[in-house]
Amino acid sequence: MKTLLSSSTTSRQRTQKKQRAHYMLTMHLMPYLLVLPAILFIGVLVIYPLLFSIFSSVHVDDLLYPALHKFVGVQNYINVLSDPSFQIAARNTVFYFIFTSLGVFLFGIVIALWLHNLPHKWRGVFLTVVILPWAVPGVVTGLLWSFIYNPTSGLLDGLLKSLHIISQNIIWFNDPKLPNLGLFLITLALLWQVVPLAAIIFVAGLESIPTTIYEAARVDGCHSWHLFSHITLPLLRPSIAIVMVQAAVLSIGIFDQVYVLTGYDPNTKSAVIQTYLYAFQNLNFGQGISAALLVTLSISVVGYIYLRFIYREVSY
Amino acid sequence: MRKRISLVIVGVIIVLWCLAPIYWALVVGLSTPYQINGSQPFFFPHPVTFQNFSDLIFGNNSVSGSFLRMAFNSIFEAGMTTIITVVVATMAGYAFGRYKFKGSRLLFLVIIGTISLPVYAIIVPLFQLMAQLNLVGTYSGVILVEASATLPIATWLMRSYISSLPQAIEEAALIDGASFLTTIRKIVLPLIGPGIASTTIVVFLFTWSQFLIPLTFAPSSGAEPLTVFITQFATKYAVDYGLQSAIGILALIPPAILVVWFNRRLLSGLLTGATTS
Repeated sequence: MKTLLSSSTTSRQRTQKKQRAHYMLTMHLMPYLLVLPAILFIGVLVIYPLLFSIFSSVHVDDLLYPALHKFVGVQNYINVLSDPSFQIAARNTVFYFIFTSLGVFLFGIVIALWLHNLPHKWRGVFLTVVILPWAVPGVVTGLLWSFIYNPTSGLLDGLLKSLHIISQNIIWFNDPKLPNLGLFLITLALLWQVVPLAAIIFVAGLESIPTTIYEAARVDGCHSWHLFSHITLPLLRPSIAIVMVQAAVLSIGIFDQVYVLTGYDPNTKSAVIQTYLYAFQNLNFGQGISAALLVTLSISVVGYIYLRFIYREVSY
Repeated sequence: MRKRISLVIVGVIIVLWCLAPIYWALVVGLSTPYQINGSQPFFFPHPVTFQNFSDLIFGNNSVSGSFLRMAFNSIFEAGMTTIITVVVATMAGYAFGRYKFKGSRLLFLVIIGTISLPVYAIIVPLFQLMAQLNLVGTYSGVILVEASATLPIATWLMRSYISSLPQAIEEAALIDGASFLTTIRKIVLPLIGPGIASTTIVVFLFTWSQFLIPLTFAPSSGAEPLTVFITQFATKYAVDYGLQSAIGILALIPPAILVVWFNRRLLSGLLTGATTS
């Protein structure tokens, strides 16, 4: 019976069958082959180190004493949290986070509204100008701003001097009278780089709001401020949530700009700078890992809160 | 009319804010040491000198030698990382965008979940791993880590782009007996070209800016890129602001060119990327 069937199969049917088998094989095996390299990369270079991180954070692991390796529970976390140098770094990071969040929101909205109201033919050019600082590497951003804050030939001192606001150059960092000024100045450099992205996200958000809503509100006698606070802001909520999460990620994780502008200076060092100090200067890997995980955890918590309370699906 | 005037005033402030730091570095880079270290405030180079730039590029000294080396490192590492990331991400993005397979949801979530995982969270064990593999201080070490750091966002970008395209043409080709590779080469690749282009630009810009990764994996080994070189240079030649700013300007030229040239592609990539979080 079997042989009879197969002998009656015409060659056309056979090729069709072959094609079908080939098609099925392609459909079933191919996706796994395609994702394999990505899975290998992420598995070996991200997931494995992450699991190892979590494992190490509850063990003692010190390059200087390699034999010492035992389970210590949350001891590493407690050590990090009670270390005065981490507390200073954490305090500085809270400053960075607050200044950056406020700045990104305010400047981002202002620049986005400006771009949105520009005549169409100008928008392309100025979008490019606005996005340019975003593409500048963090280290170069730090460098550019170091020339502005430079105490001997900086632009800031030069400007204030030629406007006769000051007569002597001010040394902007390490002024004992203004210990928090450095944090503010570094935040400005970070804002210069981060605000463009916020503005672009806000512009896209503004563009998605139908103009008919504004027209209707205007007919009903709404003033511009009310249009902004009652229509624009609530409808921008998804964009605002995204921007605020980005601001949190970039400010809590600030490293490059601080490293270039003030290095390991306790007045301005961030939590990630402290992490780097633990691991690669003190060679205490366990402490470095715990500190890094604490920073990561705080970013996740802030991000979750933002998405939970700011983000709302908007439909028209 | 009032609206127009306020648009212009706000615009002038915004443009000054965006461009002044770059302009100022250019001024310092084009000035003589005499002017930079003088006590007179200055706002444009007078006289203009290209000495700093020519010292860096053509100068027959150790500074120029290491600058050219590090500039090559930057281009090589960013280029290789971009190629590897885009190829791997396109493959994975195609699989996730086109197939429903067992475990696809889980695998996708694992890859995408790591977008929000910052590099510093895992840099210590990653360093230990790379040290065991003898890859610290090598091109491969830096490139592998940078590729794994940019892969999640690149995969997301490629999947978003691919799933926005209709599937019918590829299915027809496959059912008509075209081999998988032919379908990919003749039909899929031309269709997803624009998606590949914006992913390439985003990944290149991310990689060019990397600092913590090369600082950790290629410290003073000859494999460090410009970003690391800048910080070493700033401590070594602390007062040579002219040279420092010339390096800064040269390091921001490649990203600036990409932004000006491809701003539309970049913006679409950025917006897709930003909405993941």
